[in-house]
Amino acid sequence: MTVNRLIISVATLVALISIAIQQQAVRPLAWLLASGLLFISGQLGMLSWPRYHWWLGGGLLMIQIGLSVINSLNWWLLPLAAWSLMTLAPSRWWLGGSFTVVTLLGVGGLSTPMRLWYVGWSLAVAALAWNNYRQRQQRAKLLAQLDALRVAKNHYTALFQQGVVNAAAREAQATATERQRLVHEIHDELGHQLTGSLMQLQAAKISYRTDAQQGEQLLDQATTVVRAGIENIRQILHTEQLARETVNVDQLQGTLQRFTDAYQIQTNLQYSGDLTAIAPAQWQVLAANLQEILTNTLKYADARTVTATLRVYPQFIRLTVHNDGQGAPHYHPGLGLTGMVDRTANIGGQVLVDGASGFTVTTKLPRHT
Amino acid sequence: MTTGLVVTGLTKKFGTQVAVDNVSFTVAPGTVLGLLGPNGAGKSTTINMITGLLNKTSGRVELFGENLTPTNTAIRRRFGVVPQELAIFDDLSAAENVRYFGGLYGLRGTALKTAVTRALAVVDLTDHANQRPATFSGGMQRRLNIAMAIVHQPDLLFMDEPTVGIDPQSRNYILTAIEKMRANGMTVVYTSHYMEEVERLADNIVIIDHGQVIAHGTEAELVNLVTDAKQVTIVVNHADQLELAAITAIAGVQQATLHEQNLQLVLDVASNPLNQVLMTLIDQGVAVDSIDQPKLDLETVFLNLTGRNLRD
Repeated sequence: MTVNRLIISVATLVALISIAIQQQAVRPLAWLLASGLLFISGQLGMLSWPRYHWWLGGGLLMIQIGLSVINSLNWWLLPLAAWSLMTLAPSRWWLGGSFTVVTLLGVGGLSTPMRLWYVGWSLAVAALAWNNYRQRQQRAKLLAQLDALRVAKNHYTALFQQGVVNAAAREAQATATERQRLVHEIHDELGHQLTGSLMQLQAAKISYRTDAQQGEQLLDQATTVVRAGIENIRQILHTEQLARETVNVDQLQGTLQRFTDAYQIQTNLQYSGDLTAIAPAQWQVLAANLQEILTNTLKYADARTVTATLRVYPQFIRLTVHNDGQGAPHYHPGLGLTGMVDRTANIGGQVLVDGASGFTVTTKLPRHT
Repeated sequence: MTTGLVVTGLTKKFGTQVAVDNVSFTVAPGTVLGLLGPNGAGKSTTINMITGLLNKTSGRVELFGENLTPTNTAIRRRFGVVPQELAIFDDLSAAENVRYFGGLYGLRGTALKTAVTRALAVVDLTDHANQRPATFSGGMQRRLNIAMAIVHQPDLLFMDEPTVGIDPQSRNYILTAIEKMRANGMTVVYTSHYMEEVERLADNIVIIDHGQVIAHGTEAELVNLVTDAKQVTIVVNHADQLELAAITAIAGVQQATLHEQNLQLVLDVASNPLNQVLMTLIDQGVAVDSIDQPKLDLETVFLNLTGRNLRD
């Protein structure tokens, strides 16, 4: 935009200088050259020192008016000076006002045949300035929209990622539960069945002893197979039990321990009540909220200790995480906190945030009986 | 069926701050609702939105079956407000203050006169009717403020912390006055951060924290939220005759221990086997000296709900 203005300014100067040369007027030419250089250096000065642009712009306009009184060709530069000043405080009132003043001044200063041409020139520059102003406005509006869209995009990306993480965790949870069910079934049913068949086989071995030796051998083989089967199941059971992955209080404890190890902020977890009443989906939310609060603690709190309390009541479950940091009575809820509130509300819970003394976040979930 | 006050999804936002977050509750006619919560929980904002002193961001308020809007004056005449800040003219006498507000509600002539006398009597200010409130104690000013709110005999009275910073005697006057008004069928919505008052007055309690309703119900229901067991200590004579096993065998007795003369029990709230315990004791020839059952107060309920104290 500024480049536009400079190009038009230079073009105007060149035109005026050509007129002066054609008229073979030496003095006006000298004045024009001087004022032209002044004009351009003023413009460049406004770009370089934005702090003083009002002084530079105003001074330039004043000098231009003064020069115009001495040298009538300079009048033609006046609208351009008004334009550059207008860009500093763009509004339709400034535009209208400054161009009216400049036009009136020029009309007063110029001789009759030139007046009409000058008014035309001034109006043309004003139209350019207006167009320029509108374009700037539109650009600002689009930029603001772009910003808003970017914020919205980030928000949804975060929510989406949260959703993906939650879904993955839920899946892992489901797998773990299913695996445990299998473990129990193998142990309770298949194990007993196999042990039963082993006993039957042994009994058969005794009752058929009077028969052929071959039968005895077969029975021996069968016994071996069944024994091997039981041993196999034992092995499976042993490894499966090690691979238990349920999200539980140990995981909360682990999260806190890792936090302490990494950032030297003391943590402790107290829990009471019937923790088995907490459903897998609720563990997910509690674990995710704890993680979020720890992240926030690290980012904002400047805390020494984090205390987490998990309690199961007859009708609800509560996780309170408190840090002894600087607190924030007038915090602004960011993406993390909003995510926490959304996630908790999704399973019918509430999040209470208190920044009065230290920072306390309470997650309250309904207990399903 | 006539409904009292129904508040649905009431929300107030100041910029990004959510002062009141989707608050809903109902008040049955002729009952007292206690809005309990720490300072700054959003109690006053809630009351101010319901009464129309503050524009609500969203939500709906219904009073006696009608939508409560700023222009619905017919329904607005049916409630009174005792604001947290005193609204008293110091240059008028107590009776003139009450008369002025009665006049605003459209009372004239003898009707106004009787109404003023009655209102002053409810708050025990009849003897001070012609004195200027500037000479009153803080408690008396509060009582005058209440008289001004009830002069038009509203069906519903909103009271926003009417006992803050006053002497115990005046507090008792006010609490008694509220009990009197309820006995006469008035519905009262009462905010306080004093749980003793709420425990004494309220039929139903709504606990608010950070603009959210975190629990509501009767006092017993709220206590049951946080515990399913209660502790009872029975002081007995002839403790040597007591068979602990027989007590433990009673359904609902979670735990029974004897320390000298103190029989300490942990009982299920739901089945409450206290009666059977006493009968068993009497059967065993053990004399019951006294029974002590420490009450779980709302302070403890709040602590258990939020992990924080009601008052800092």
